[in-house]
Amino acid sequence: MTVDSQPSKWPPAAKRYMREFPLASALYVGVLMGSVVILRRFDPPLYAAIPLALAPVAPALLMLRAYLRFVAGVDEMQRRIQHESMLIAAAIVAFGTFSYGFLEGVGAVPSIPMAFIWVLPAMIAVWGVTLPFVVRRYK
Amino acid sequence: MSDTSADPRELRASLRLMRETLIAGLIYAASYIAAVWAIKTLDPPQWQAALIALAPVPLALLMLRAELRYIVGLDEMKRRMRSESVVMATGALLVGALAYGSLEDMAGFPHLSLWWVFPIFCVLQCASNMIVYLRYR
Repeated sequence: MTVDSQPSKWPPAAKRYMREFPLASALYVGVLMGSVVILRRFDPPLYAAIPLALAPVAPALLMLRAYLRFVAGVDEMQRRIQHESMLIAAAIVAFGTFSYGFLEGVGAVPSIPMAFIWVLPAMIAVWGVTLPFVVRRYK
Repeated sequence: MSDTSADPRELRASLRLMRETLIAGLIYAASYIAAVWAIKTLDPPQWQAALIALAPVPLALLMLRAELRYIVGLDEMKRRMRSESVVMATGALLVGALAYGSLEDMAGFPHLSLWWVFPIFCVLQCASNMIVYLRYR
């Protein structure tokens, strides 16, 4: 008799995701803070500033990898829910940013500095909202 | 028996997607142009301009509805391919946006309007569709 015979609340893919994603997120925060400190303190030339600015992308890719591994490890129905909620969130963010850009162009709203950096947090937030609706639809 | 022959149901679904996307796209484009024209010509107060500018957004969601209807009607393999391409395009968009935002903030790259996110996503979606198609061929 193995411990696997005990029904677990979380599937193995979810457990792995909950381990990998926070780790990658913490790494992202650490690398981002390190890059910012170095760039602000030493004001390096452009050829050095570009790789430093891009350094946080590597842990962001680890976050993406953790999510993709999670989706690959869940059953077909869960995968469908995840993909559908991602598509809806991506569409909402795409159309939302398109409209905001338009509003920005006509001067109806202020221009957001480093606007592109907000696309990822916006996507995560919208996705968090859409996921329960998609889950409810499949129940 | 070869399974490469076109499934009539799938063909109908593809044609419906094309038709619905085209109609929704045209409605969206027309309402977008009308909104731009109204704002430029009438020069309304800021809150009215914001409302006019946002008016085309619900129409854009018709395109999303067409895509979701299409995905639901696909067989398991095609649905998987479609989903994979969406995930690939979204992932590339998010990582690319993060990279450019960092470059803008820390390396002094020029400011890019959020307006570009949607066209970039469309291009990435086309590219990822092709990549996934070639991978599963």
